[in-house]
Amino acid sequence: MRINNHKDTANKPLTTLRIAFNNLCGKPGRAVALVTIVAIMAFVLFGGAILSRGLDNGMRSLEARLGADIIIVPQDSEDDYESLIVDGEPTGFYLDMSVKDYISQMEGVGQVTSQFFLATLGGGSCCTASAQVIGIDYETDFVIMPWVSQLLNRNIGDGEVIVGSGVSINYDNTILLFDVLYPVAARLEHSSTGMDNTIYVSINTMRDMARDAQALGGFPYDVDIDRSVSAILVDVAPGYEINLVARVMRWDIPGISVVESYGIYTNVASGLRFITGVIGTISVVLGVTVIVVLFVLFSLTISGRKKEFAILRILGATRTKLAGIVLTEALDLSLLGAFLGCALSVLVVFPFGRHIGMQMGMPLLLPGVGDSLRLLAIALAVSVAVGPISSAYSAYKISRAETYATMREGE
Amino acid sequence: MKIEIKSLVKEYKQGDQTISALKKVNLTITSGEFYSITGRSGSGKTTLLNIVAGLTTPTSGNVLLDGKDIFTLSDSALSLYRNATIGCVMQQHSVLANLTVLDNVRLPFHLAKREGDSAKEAYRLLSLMGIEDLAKRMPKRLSGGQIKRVVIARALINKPMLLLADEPTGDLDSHTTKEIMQTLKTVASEGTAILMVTHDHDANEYASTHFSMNDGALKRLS
Ligand SMILES: Nc1ncnc2c1ncn2[C@@H]1O[C@H](COP(=O)(O)OP(=O)(O)OP(=O)(O)O)[C@@H](O)[C@H]1O
Ligand SMILES: [Mg+2]
Repeated sequence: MRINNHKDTANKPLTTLRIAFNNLCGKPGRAVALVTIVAIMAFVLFGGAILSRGLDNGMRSLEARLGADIIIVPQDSEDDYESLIVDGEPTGFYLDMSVKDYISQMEGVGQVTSQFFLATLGGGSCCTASAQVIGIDYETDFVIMPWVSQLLNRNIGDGEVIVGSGVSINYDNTILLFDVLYPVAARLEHSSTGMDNTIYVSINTMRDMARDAQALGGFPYDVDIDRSVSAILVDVAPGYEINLVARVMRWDIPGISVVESYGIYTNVASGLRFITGVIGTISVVLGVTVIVVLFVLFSLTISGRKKEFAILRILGATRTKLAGIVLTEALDLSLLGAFLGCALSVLVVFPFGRHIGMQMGMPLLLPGVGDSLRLLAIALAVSVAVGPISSAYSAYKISRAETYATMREGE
Repeated sequence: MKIEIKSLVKEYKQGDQTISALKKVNLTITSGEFYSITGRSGSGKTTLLNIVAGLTTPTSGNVLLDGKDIFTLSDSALSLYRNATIGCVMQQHSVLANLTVLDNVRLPFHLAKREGDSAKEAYRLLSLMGIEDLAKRMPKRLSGGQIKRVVIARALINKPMLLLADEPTGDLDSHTTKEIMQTLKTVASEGTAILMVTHDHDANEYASTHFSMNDGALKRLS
């Protein structure tokens, strides 16, 4: 009776895998500790890789969206401009339109367009969102239109708005700006740049809106709305050096700051290099530490288990079999740790990635599914390999041990 | 199958002095015979069994399995010899703590990658030892005598040609000793040779050939 009852479970072959598994279950504390160590490593490896890649993507996104070689803003406004472009920090500053006319005539200047900035009144009842409104002159624009035309196949009509991915709008696809309801024509995709917090309108709509803002106290009365621009964006003509053209502008025109977009880019890029460097260093140091710690832990536990392995030898296990059991135990632990760590990393990085990027003040554009899966596969493979690598020496040692001697040591 | 032990010498070096644990031991083991070795503590009985099991190499002399020296075998061939040709009941407790009683008994069967129903044979041996109800227990919940019986069952799972038993009834009361010895006698009658070390007078009675070990020298008594 009894034999039949147990037949199904009791008759499974005692493979290396099952022996290793039973050994791990026999020492759950040890197993949990080792799994945790590997999990921490996998968490950092995968999380770090995704963040690094995300920052790199954000960087490229920013580079692509800066669009112009030189940006002219009022004197001392370049920091505000950079905050707007990188972080989407709403701002407003104004220049007389004559500056644009002057610049258009300068040698080495190719395309020129202007933008008009207006910060919405966040928190007030007049506006749906706290964001930056940018009026673009779509007759001359060469910076925003390439993105917009991808979405719309047409220009922005007067009275329409296009919103960045982070701007909140009403459910019926409208947005209230300075007490006027505007239809939202399109929403840009996430770029992890200031664009995400920007509302684009035509320059005509912009001027009307500025007047509405003036009435609500959201725009200074001393600015001549019809004769003002906020930023003048310049593409340098082929064959001219960007920094030479910029230098002539600084020399010639009083009361302006000349921003080379390359400068914004390199600012962010050096911050990015620093962060990815830190992530890389942490990953490597942690990886090495984990291997060393596991190596020590495996060596210690193995020497306490000499008798157990001597018994296996007496029962006819080959040296290879003993090494196989040790390696399989390590592999089981690192497999479990690797999966747990990576799973946790996925749960943290993807939902909170944007928040993490904001905290770092860096453009962070998380990689797509394919790229993420590739990084996941690498992080898993490295973490899984850590167990067998760090236990290899123990496995070798136990397989070489003198059976009779170890049996007596266990007495 | 035949196992011949020829001029076996084992010396242990301890600092500058040499301990002669075995002095030119000769013994031929044939199927179905039940040998017992008695002798003082430290006389070399365990050393002899360990060499026959291929666990320690002799200083000189041979252990021949059908004419072939087991110490010239490859690791896998020697492992197979330990696994299937012989069965070992060590003097110390040699049960694996992480496996159930049943799995301990089944383990040698699977180490040699045999096909077949290991559980059925394991249950047969456990009931032969009178402990089939302990099959699902972990060894740490067993008494010393119960463990000894698990180890004997395990040593028999691959139907060895020779059973090496170092104090198999060391932890057992006289009633159980009688039962176990009766079982071993049955095992021997089915063709397995038994080489048993014992201090127990009652156990000694079950053997058919008696030896005594005296300071490393083996002497036949009857
Ligand atoms: N690994 C070893 N290193 C050194 N000396 C050893 C070793 N193994 C055994 N000896 C010595 O060899 C001699 C024989 O030991 P052995 O274990 O064979 O005795 P035994 O007859 O089995 O004794 P007991 O009845 O107490 O089990 C003893 O003097 C012992 O101290
Ligand atoms: Mg002994």
